[in-house]
Amino acid sequence: MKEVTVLYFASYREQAGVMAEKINITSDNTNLGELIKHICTIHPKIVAEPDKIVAAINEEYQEHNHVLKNGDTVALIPPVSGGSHDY
Amino acid sequence: MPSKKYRVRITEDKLNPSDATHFASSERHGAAVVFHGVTRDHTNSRKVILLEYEAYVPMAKKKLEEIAKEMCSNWDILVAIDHRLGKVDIGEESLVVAVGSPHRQSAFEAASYSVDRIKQTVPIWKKEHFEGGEVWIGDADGFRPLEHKSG
Repeated sequence: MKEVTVLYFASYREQAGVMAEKINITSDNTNLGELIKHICTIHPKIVAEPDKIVAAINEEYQEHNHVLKNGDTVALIPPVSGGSHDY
Repeated sequence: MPSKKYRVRITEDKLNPSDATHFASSERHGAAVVFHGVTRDHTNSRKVILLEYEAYVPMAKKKLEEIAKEMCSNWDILVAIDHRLGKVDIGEESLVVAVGSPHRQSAFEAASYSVDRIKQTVPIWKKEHFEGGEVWIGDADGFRPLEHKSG
């Protein structure tokens, strides 16, 4: 069994009501996309389509087909202000 | 010559643009362009009271360093990037980018490039507190950091 640490920031942190938690993964080749779907069922208040949630593993953005390793730190990254014209 | 060509800071303290400018200045680098991103008092017609910034600090620092390194490999420059976190009052800087270059053209180009890049990939979020509410700012459709990998 593998264990990953999941970090929540900004809107996801407020919606999930948690900043960080450990999540156990039972299957050997669980990928990031599957973990994100699982997270969205644990935290149904997260307002985002699982397929569109961006995440980083160990501080690098990764595609959803990236397979998780024991001890990985997964951060769900809400949209940054990119694309807005605030300056 | 400073030992490093770039410097990146993420801090809850008020930013000090002249300190960033000082870092980016040298006898070789005669043109300095300093960008100040300052908290505005309105978004469209909504009156903004203050902004609050949150970061995934270690990753944000890493991404800012990647951008600074990329800038230094694309242009012959010195660069300081400072980003503020926490509550920022109207009229205060949340982002300062200072670029020093031997010629003004590359200083302008690099400064402009850095602000675009920062908004594409750096995990720093902004919450707008306005009269009667608050909201996290972010464009879900426009946020595709994997399409903006450096290199």
